[in-house]
Amino acid sequence: MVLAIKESIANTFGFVKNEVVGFSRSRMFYYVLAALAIAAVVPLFTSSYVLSEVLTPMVIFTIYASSWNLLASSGQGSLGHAAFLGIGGFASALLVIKLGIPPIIGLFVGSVFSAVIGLLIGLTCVRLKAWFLGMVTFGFSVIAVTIISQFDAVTGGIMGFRTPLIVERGLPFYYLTFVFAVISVFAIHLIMRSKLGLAFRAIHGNELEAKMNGVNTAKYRLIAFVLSTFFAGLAGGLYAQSIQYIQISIFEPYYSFLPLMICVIGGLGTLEGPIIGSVIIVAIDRYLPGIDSALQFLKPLFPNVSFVGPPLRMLFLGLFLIVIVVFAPKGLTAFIRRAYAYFRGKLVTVKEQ
Amino acid sequence: MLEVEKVSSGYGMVQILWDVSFRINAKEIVSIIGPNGAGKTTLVKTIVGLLPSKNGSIRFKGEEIGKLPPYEIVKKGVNMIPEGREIFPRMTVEENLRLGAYVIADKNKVKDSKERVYQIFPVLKKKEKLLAQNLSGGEQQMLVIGRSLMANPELLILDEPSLGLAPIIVEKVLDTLTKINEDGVTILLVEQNIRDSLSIADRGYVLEEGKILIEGKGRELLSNDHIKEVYLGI
Ligand SMILES: Nc1ncnc2c1ncn2[C@@H]1O[C@H](COP(=O)(O)OP(=O)(O)O)[C@@H](O)[C@H]1O
Ligand SMILES: [Mg+2]
Repeated sequence: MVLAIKESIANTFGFVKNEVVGFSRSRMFYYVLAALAIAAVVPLFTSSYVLSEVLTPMVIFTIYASSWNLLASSGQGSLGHAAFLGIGGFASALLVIKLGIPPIIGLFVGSVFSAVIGLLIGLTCVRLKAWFLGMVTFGFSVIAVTIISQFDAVTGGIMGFRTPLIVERGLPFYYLTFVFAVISVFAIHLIMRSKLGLAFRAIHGNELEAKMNGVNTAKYRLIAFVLSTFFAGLAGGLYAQSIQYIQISIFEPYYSFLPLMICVIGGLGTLEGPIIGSVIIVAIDRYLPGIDSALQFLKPLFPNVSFVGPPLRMLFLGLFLIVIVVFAPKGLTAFIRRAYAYFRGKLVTVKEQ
Repeated sequence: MLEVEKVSSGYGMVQILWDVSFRINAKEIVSIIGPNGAGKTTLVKTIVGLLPSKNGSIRFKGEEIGKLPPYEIVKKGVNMIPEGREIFPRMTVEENLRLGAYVIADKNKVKDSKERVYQIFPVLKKKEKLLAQNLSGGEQQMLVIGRSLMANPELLILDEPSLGLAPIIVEKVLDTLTKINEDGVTILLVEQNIRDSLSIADRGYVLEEGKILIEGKGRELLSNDHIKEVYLGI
């Protein structure tokens, strides 16, 4: 009896016996909805700093990391996704400034533009195996930054330019990004549950077997890449608005590394992984500097280092990443699911006795 | 149904197959046997479009398929179960089956095929919601065969299905293949397990060092001198 109940719980949540199931468990989806409800209410009670510097980036990076996650779900990776974040950011803002179209249209067209560039790059390298695409996108991100900084008459060069806003900063902008994030995450959820998503997962699982089941792997890899670059472009357009300014620093490797880090921490190939990962990474990024001064007491230990704060902070971040990868290699999502199952299982067992 | 004529193939500069010719008639079970490294896998990979054939022709139901990509060949009704019979461990049993029907657009047809597969392998129905990684070795083999049936193939190619399975399960697999064949599916069985595969095959070919060496009726081949000496050690 105890076993049967445990089994049924395991089946409901899709772990313990089944490990992480990712996108296919509908139950998990309601938890995501609950999280979204929290995300909708919390901003009403926070300061404007927290709203625009913490919560808004969390939401935007959720879209960005989800785009990367979608790509990873098809067995591919990008090491230069900042290229598409940047292209989305520049294109959506430039379209508004140069053509005078409404910013919201600019955002959409900018995302499509990013996807078109994604299509062109994808077409040239669909024949490449898995991670080679990652190197190509990295190379492209280097090229993109060079091009944009050289065409300074249009792009503002190294200095960049102010981005036109769709809505006022603060709550209105937060809710705008929030709506886009909900739509994006939900769209990706639907994609992963569709026949298209089945093909992505098959390619990810075993490319030879996918082919032998009649999946045109080159085509579906390309589709995954184009979809991913669309959402990355969307995130870029929103990000450019959130910092009110766009410049070539958006192409920096940091922004390419970011979605990878978020997905690994949150949980690759899960719907909620990018959300959890974004919350954690942005929180660390914003609040960890606060411990710099607190760490000053360690200064005597490092007489030759002038600022002990920042390096120690990075040390903690690095350790945190290592701990996650070692102790929760499937990300915090899997870890939380498992802990939850464990305690639920225990509770049920106790009641039985 | 399948005519392979003077096909040469290999990997890059390395040629493995040399003018291989053989045919499979509709509704037959044909076995290709040969030692490890003979080029059996290379041959089936070439047939299903995973490797390009250097020359010669491969015709399926009279139509040249030698230059088609794998997914087009699957659409035409040829399905291959690669060596190692890998399932998708992180998909449910049911999702594995749905993937097998990827080339079929008609949802009703997919449903019918699924029912048929569940009839052949009731255990798969019982475990349809489980992740495939939880199946036993024998069940995984059933899933792989069931999955390949989802595309309603006319020709089913199996690359060493008995590899790594206990004898009793091998027997079950061969039984199943005979039944599937009776239902009208033509079968090409590539095996090192000569005794078992020749016992269910209508005809057989021996492939050695990339060349077809001997051809004959299934059971009769078992009394062929070369086969007796080299493979059966009698
Ligand atoms: N990917 C590959 N690249 C180069 N040579 C290969 C490759 N796969 C197999 N071979 C070679 O091709 C020959 C035939 O291999 P294979 O077709 O797998 O034989 P079999 O399936 O009969 O055991 C072997 O000599 C093997 O070393
Ligand atoms: Mg082989």
